[in-house]
Amino acid sequence: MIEAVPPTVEIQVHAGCRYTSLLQTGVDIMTTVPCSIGDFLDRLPGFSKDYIINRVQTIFLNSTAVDDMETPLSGTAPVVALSAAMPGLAGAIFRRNSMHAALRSAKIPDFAAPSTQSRIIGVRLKLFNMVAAEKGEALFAAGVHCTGAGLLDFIAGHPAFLTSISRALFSGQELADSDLIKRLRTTDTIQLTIKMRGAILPAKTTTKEAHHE
Amino acid sequence: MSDKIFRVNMTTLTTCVEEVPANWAGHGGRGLTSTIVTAEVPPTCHPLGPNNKLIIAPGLLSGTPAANSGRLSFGGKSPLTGTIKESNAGGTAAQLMARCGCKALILEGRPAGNTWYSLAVSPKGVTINVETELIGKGNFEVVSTVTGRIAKKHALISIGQTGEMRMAAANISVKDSEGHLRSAGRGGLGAVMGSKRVKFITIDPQDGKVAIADPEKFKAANKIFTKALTSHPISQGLGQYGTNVLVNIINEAGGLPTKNFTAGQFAGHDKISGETMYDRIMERGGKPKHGCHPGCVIQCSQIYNDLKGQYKTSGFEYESIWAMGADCCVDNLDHIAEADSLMDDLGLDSIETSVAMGVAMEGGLLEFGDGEGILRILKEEVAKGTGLGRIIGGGAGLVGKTFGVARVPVVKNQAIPAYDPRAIKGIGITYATSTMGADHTMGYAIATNILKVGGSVDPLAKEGQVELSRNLQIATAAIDSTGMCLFIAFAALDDATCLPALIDLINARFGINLTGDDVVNLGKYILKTERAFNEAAGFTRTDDRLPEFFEYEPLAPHNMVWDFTGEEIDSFWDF
Repeated sequence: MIEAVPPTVEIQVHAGCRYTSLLQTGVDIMTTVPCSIGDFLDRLPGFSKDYIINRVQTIFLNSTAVDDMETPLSGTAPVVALSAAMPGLAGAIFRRNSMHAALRSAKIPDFAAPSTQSRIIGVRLKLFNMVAAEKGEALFAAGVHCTGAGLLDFIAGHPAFLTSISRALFSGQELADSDLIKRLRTTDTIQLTIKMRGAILPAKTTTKEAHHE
Repeated sequence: MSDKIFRVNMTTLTTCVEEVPANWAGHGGRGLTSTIVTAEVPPTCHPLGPNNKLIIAPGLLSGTPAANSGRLSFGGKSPLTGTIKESNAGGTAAQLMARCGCKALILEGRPAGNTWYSLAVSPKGVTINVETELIGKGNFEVVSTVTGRIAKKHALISIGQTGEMRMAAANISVKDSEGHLRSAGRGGLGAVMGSKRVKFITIDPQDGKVAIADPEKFKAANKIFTKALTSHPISQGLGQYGTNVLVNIINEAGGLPTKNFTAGQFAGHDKISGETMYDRIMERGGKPKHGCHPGCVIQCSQIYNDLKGQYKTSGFEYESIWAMGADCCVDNLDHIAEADSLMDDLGLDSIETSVAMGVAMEGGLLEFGDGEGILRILKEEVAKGTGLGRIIGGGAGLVGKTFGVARVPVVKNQAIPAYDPRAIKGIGITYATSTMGADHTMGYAIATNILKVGGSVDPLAKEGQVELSRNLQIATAAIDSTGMCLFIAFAALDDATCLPALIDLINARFGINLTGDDVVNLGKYILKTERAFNEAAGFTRTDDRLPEFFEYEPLAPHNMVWDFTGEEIDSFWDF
């Protein structure tokens, strides 16, 4: 559940910092429904129709592979996952409009008919592999919703991310990394923005690296 | 140099070089190993007895400059499944063996006594040598020691301690161009090599070259073929994330077998995914892109370093990471990498062994998620050949029987790999009907519309799934005969120039005129040949079944069960 006005977390990182794999567990994007998957993707920062058609080869809606871009977002908290073309037979099976779609389990997705009433919901968006690498930066620059615990979990597995932070603001207040961690521990949903600095800056202090190791 | 058959009799400790029989001449790789096994191995023989044979065959295009043509096939009767078996690996051996003029190396018989041997292959034939120093040693020490003994460029095929102990999950390793290992993993052929008391085989091509009948045509075809591979978008993803890129996709689809196949999604998927692995490789100075054999243009392998930035493992594949990860609920990628390295050194199939660990966890041996416990068992039990170690090394089926577990994910006693057949039923058909036990690579390759195998497929009908699995297995069997990596299938799937270029490569290599139909017929011949061997060994249609629990345990999140009838599965063989 997304809080009405979640606190903002704005993070600036050094160039070369790898953080787009944070998207593999998903972030929440507020969107107005009813809305098709195609329209939802088209509204995402950095996405274009051409990119969606040519690069996004695999789409899951609520864990079911989707072929038709007109499929409406369904459920109160839809989960959409995007991937580039994937290897192996399994990759081919789940690819959009694949001739190997016949090898999926033959269960017809039960996408409930969406309400015609316009409303704003949070869509859990997961970006995998090349799609995350190519579009993650734009998405984070525009801002996403996620949980404090999710960001902490990512930081725990990616210590280099923390050492790449050049500036962090929590609800507009600049914080040291250690204080940011403390605040994230006690915050459910945050509105997260990550932006890359243009220049590669010197490595941070040994104290900070040790702290996060 | 014309191709010959190199034969080694380990009973008499003699070797010879023979002409290639006419009906073997058109075969290579899997097609040849299965042809020879069917011709020369009594189907009812004991896999570790003197009557079984280990066949090692390069592909039809091995030793040429054709891109991605460095796979080496190993064949015999499997100690794990009791069926015919072909397993293939990258590394440098296929190309150098082809340059020796060796179309196939046949190891037969079994020596009396306890002496161990090594073999040295050159264009002149095979030499048998007594080996003492490396007996009881792991593959890594074999590679470093043999590399020190032989100054010149050579290829190396070896078994670890588990092959010496003839464990049914023992694999055969092949040295790659950087001195790391690639494995012919499945089916326990390392135990067959161990039963022949051959610890390792070196291959020195000297000045041998592979003759190409029409070099200009070959060069032109290879250019088209290579372009089709390198320009394909999947090649880009593979080069960055490796095959482990599949963790997130299969997890999202609900088909990632988790906690010994009790769920289809793993909460720790992001801790073991290709995306996370890539970040870690970059942070630790590893290599995200790396070929398993010279001439590979896809480069899906990688070098994974440990916390200190030191080399830990390479060829860190999706199926291995899934098996030790999601199936055993281990979400620590470093533990999985350590286990992968240990299994490489011991010479164990990382799928079979890891699935066996998952079954053992269900049986109470360890808690799910206990990565350190797995490492301890590999080091202290399997490596030393204790009773428990031999049970784990005997595969998932043996572990299930030993620990009284009913949920044992095997077909023909071979562990089911990383795609749950309840969530992806078409792959379940392949697991059930494969001539070699559950194996995801058996039905892998090439779009039906390009090969024109079979007719139209109704995506909502079971008949369509059976038909597509059949067509894929036919095509895969043919590709396995070329020495090509199966990943060429991506390009062949989408690029209309790719498969014709591959056929042109074969035609230019041998000066023949194969057509697409010939390729299809080759695939059919291989499948039928392998099935005939299995039937003569005592297998029936009832062996083409998935384990019962798939029928009564729905798989979350889609709550699907396996619901193909025996008759529906049996229709696979109607061709």
